[in-house]
Amino acid sequence: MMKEHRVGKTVWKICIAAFLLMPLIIMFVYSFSDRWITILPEGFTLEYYVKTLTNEKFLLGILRGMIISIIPVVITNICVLLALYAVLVYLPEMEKVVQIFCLIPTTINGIILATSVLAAYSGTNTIFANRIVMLAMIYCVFVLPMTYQGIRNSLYSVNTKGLLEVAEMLGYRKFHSYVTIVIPAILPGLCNSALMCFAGLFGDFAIIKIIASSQFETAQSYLYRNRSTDTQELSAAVVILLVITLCINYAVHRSQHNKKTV
Amino acid sequence: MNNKLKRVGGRMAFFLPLAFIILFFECLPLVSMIIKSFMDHGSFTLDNFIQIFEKTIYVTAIRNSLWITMLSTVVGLIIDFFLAMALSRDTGKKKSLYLSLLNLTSTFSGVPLAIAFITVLGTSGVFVLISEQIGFTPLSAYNLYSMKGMFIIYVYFQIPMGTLLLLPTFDKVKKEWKEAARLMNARSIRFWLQIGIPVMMPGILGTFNMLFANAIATYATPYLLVNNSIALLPVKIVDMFVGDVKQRPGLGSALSIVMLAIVLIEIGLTNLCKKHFEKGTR
Repeated sequence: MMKEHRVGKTVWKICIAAFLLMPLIIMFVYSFSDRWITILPEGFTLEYYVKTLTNEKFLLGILRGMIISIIPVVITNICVLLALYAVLVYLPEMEKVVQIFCLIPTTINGIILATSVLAAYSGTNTIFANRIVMLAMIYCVFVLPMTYQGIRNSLYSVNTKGLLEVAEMLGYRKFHSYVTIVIPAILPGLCNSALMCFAGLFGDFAIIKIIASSQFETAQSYLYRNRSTDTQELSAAVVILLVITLCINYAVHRSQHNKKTV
Repeated sequence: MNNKLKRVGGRMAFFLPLAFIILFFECLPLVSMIIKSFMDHGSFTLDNFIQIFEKTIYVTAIRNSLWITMLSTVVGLIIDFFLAMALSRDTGKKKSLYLSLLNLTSTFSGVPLAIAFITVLGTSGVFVLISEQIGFTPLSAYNLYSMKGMFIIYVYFQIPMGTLLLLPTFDKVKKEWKEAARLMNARSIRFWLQIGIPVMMPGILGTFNMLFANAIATYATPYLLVNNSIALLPVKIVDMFVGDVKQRPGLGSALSIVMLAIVLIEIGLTNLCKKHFEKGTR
């Protein structure tokens, strides 16, 4: 009985893994092959990688995508850390309020968020009408739920309140010890959620399409604009983007592992 | 007194940055969108909503969106449940390798995912061409550029996300319970139906919410594959604001409200279910 179950579970895992890996593997092989119009791919070439990696627009797109993803993640993390500090130390009754507002964006998805901000501020002569500012701020709100949950869980897992009280007894100012003791202690968890947010923003297409598709071309919008050109070049570009996310994943894994063994 | 006021002010300053973002980029736009959806040339009107429920194109968009969202969420959740169940007892390298695969594919979305599926199953996709060669008609006639064709992509992105969300809820089901159930001669299916799933229900429903919200807002996939040939809510909404045709922010706002209402109703319903399970009045 038990054995039967184990076999079934293994088969299920293999099937799903195959389904998940299928497009990745095909893209990978496709981008390296000369042509693939019969059963097996023909020839091996690095031509498409050379072309993609020397394509200034694509590289700039990656760079832009990274910048516009990192800045909001940093801003949001700082804002939430500050707010949750005040909640923990001074105003525990504010917790529910902060939670509600931080979790609202899970319900109003990226599309509603972006269109509402666009409709509210475009054409006004304020700094909010600047498309890049708009984009960065929308991204801030977009990653708010994940950042909030990541930070909150980490803060509770290290007994922040106790730590701060002990530090105060030893004569340190609470905020000082929050920055020098608590934040370093929760950094692995923080990095984890931050990198997940980063990956989410880096892969965004809908919001950027709505807000700044023409002014600020990221790798995603580059792919979209060139969707009908050479598919092999596109595959190479997709593989490169995947390798970048793979590196991010690996970085998360490594940082957590290191922390554990120290 | 003055000192105390200062201290309270200092404390509130910690909230300022977050409050700024929330106020100006979450609350105000949302409120203004709600107002806009009821406005036409400066006066109150229900016209936008009447149009949405009268014109076939919008009704179809809502129906299509609901159909593909519900189905992909349910199918995805079933696949995820069994995958998380299979993974929950694993340990060590094998599990962490599988988790890395899930993490990687969970970020594989948007345009790259659509392009990958076009390469695999599009009109001149690899699998389609291979199937043509060997005469395997179900695949060679695969039409990715339709609702049914697109469905596979929706399921694809529901798998890693849902499994990662469901995995922690399996920890709630203690090994001892399973052993106790087995000692009492309860079959595995009976154990899961009567103990395991009810215990995990809050987590399952939470995952359902996330998958539903994720699917209904999916934009890149339908935009790339079917664009306007099949009406879907997200594509229609964006068209109203930045489309090539005449822009109609009023109607777009109203459509956004409809989408928001769908999500809220869905969350309300799952919350009702959750309460039922939490009370234990089965």
